[in-house]
Amino acid sequence: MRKPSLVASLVALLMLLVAPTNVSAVEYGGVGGAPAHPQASNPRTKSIFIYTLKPGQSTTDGIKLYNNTEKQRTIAVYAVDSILASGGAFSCAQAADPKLDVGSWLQLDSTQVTLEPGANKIVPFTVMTPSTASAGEHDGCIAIQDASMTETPSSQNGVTLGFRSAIRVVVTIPGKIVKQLSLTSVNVAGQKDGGYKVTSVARNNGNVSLDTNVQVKLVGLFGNTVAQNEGTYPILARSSAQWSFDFKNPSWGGWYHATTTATYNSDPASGLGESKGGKRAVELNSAVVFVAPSGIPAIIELAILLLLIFALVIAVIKWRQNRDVKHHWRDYTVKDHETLNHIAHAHNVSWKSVAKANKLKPPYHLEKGQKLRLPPKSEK
Amino acid sequence: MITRQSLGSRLGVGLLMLVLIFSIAPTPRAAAVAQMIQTKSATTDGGTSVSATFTAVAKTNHLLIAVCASRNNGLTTTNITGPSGFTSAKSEANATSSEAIFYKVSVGTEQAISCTLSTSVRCGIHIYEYSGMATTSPLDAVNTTTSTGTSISPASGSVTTTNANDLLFATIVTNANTSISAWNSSFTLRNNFVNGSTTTSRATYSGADRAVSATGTYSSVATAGASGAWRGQIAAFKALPITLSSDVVDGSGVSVASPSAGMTSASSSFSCQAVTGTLGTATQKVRINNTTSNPAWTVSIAATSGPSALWTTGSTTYDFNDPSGSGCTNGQLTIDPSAGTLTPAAGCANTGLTLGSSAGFSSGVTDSITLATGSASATINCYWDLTGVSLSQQVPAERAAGAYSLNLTITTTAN
Repeated sequence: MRKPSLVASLVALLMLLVAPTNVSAVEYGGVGGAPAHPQASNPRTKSIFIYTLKPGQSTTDGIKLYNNTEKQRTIAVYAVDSILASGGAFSCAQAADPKLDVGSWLQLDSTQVTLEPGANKIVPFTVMTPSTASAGEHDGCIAIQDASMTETPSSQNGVTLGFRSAIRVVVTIPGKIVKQLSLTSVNVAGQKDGGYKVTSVARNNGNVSLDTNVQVKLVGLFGNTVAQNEGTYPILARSSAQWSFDFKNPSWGGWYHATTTATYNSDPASGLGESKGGKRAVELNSAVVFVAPSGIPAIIELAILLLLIFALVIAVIKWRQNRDVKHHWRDYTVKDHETLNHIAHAHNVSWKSVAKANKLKPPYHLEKGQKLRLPPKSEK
Repeated sequence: MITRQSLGSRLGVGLLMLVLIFSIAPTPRAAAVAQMIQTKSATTDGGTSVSATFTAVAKTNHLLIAVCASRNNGLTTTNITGPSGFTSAKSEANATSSEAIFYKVSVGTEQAISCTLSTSVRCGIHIYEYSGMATTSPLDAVNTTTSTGTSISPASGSVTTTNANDLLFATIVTNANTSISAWNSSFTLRNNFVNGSTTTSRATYSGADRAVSATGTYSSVATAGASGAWRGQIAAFKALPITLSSDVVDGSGVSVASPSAGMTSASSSFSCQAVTGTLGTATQKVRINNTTSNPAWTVSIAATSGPSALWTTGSTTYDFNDPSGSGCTNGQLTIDPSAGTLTPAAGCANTGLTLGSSAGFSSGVTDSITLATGSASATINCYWDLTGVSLSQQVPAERAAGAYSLNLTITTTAN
């Protein structure tokens, strides 16, 4: 049996760190690239590569590499497949990962380029689709990285960070193109800072990516939009994407729900970056949530609430008085020389009550034979 | 006297007067790289100063260019003094005409800009604001030889650039009552105006620009409607390098050679334990830089060696991407970008940006974690500093002591 003291001794002896201690960057990735020959008809091709190729077909293009640093740089350029990052965002596989899709369809003329400070150079490449490529969109990346970063950095204490930039490569294989998007959830969650985070999830059930404009509105009880946020994001084929928008606390409080509207080009003939064809919008509401007021509006609303309660109390009192006058008070005929004070005193009630119940106005002069409503004698 | 009225009715009217007004902020449009934001011009028919005023106050870090020129009296050379705080790029003068190009990196307060002249002459000023320009030492080169003539084709002169991504700015003044209809060599006409109440002694002024992406020698010739003694100038200003990248920088924005993000220490234990750290601190910020024309990007982080990567001492290992047992079976690294902060550069905004949600690496399921996303409505010619991203690693029980390391790569993707 292990004695506690022995355990403690062992722990003391093993007071060594087993945790990663640091995150360190190895190199600054001050190099970049852009499509060398964008298509004038498609502005998206200024920033990403877009091709439509039949199975077995090929095309050539080029990537323009930049050295934005103040030193000579040797830049590695290589093709990889695309992957989904958390939340459905587009990202690129690592150089070490196997190439199974577009990453294997790209053949670059050079894999390393040495550039002087501020210089640029075009690296040609070929895209060749396999004869077995399925209809729909296939994505990959051309990654650009300082050459010293293409190999796994030597082990150091903690995490070593590398940096690279990448350009998306979209290859669409003609065939049955399906564009179908749905919103699967919209949730509103309170935050520590008093604000609210609206998280929307969309599912692209089609076989091509969709540049989707996502608009999220925070809507009040009466349909009034109190805040909105939006952005346009690519949702890759056969995948889900998630966005979270932060909203400030609606200071007046109340009941709200979030409405998410996702709009995309639904024309199968319209390629990525093209604007022909119609658009389709899908919409989904969150559950209604109560938001407590805050700040000065909260004080104002509290004051209004107190006033409402006070008014309600007054109204109840008045209603009861009117009810008594109507149901319990009796008719009384004013005699000669009687005054309001005299009559009220005789009936054990204040002159104000009699005046109010009978809607008398100053100077409260009473005429002989005038009819009044007065409490019964029993109230004396 | 009894004057009390119904309290309830008063309250009812008061409550109905409560009006709530909500507003929706407009989404700013993304600007193009090295884009002219605004320009103005002004003239005087005889004075020692001339001033033009921008429609809006110039934004911080934008490049301001002021061109001042005069039609001189043929006897006296008029010297031009630039606006306060501006630097002279090129200033030339003789008895026929004077012209000077001045520039300044905006501090966010400039609106009215004026030049002064040594003699009272008819003169003009044209001022420009550009985004996407270098904020330190923005002047690349100017024409080194004087460009003058008397034809209807006033020329800028030529400039040899040393920086690939430059904005070329050409200007002329001609002693003619005319109009400049165009500039050749892909220059865009930005200003064309005249002054002088007497048509025979009017002067015409013009400015044009062109963005280039390669070093070389550039010039442009304008087309004037009438001939006159003219003077041309051209200057090349450095645009921001076209890049979409990420980096770790210190508090001054200088790239950190060996940045580190401290993680909490832990002793060897017989039970699973979490160690935490922060990616992005005040002195080591993850800087996302986008000076391309595309506002849509994603910054993600993944293990450099892919899903098979391991925390390792070189001899012993544990996982970073095994969610089983809440990460305690073999180890799991969770990253929470939503706990972080995106701080935009001066003059930029967080419009269209979202931080990623907390996620744990899971082999084959979540091999890459989104740190931040820029949408089509995000601004360009900007950088953002990401700080406060929390890291949490579940360290399995009974791990051997040692210093473990893991290689991660941050990828900035144009999409």
